[in-house]
Amino acid sequence: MDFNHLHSARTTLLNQRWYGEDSISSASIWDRSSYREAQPIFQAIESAIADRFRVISVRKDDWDKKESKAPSAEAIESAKPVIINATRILGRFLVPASQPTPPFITTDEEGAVTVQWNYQGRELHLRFTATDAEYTKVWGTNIHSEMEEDYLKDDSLKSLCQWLLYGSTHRR
Amino acid sequence: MDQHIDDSELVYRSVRNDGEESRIEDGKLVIYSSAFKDNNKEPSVDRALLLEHNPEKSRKDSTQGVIALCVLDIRNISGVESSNPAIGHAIDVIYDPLPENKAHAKIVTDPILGGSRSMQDKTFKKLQKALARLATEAGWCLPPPR
Repeated sequence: MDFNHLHSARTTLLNQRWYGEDSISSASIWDRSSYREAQPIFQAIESAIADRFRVISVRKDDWDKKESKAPSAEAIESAKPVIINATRILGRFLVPASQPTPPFITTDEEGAVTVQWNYQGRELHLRFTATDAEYTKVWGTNIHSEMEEDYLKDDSLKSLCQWLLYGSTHRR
Repeated sequence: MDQHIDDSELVYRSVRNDGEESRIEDGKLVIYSSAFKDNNKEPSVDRALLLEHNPEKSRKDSTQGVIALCVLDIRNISGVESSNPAIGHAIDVIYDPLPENKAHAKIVTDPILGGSRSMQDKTFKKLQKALARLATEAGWCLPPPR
């Protein structure tokens, strides 16, 4: 598999998703064959995510022997489509030349569903409870100056993915 | 009892290696915030100095690995002084020996960082992320058995 072509395809898809069709045509580096080649990788990652949801869905209280609560069905149902959506956005640009890794999905002490993506020193965390969802950006270890958190809104997923990839919500 | 621990000391924590607290991503070890779960919001660690700097003595299970963190790095997660004179830093590591573990210490958070209960919860979540990041940067001090 030629990963240079994949990189071009990723760049073009990034333009398409975040900047509209015009930037796609102006970029003129679309490589459909590379994108098709990468499809099995995307499908494998989504399949791994589905498997992971099957694992966390059957957790009972104290599943980890650390008194963590079982996740609620509502938290799982709200997390699943958002994680798949984010993975589809990111997967187009994060296909590595080695082993692709799905995001880390688990449940925390309160039974919330959590997911973490890592990319070039940046971490994007999403956390889903039965009633709401929030995100945390992490780019260092200082909790005051190197982390940012807020509620996850319907329209914030793309900019969060963009931050993970580029460290900025502005186009470079 | 003096609870103070010097900045230069190392503390150990045993971490699961079954994909729930750590795993390999793109060829590199990543340790997750789930490695620092604690319902009292005071994750336990062991003072390396009191275990003769032998991380094997901190391993909770033969399948787990052990990470070592520097106390100063943990204190710098906040970088804010505590309002409580008994605790030097808003995020601190204090000595807390147990009958069954004389090396036991715990990572504590001054309520000054949180305020309301929900803000304290959020602060603890961020603390866990910071600890996981420090642990990832440090890597295994004692790797899990293959």
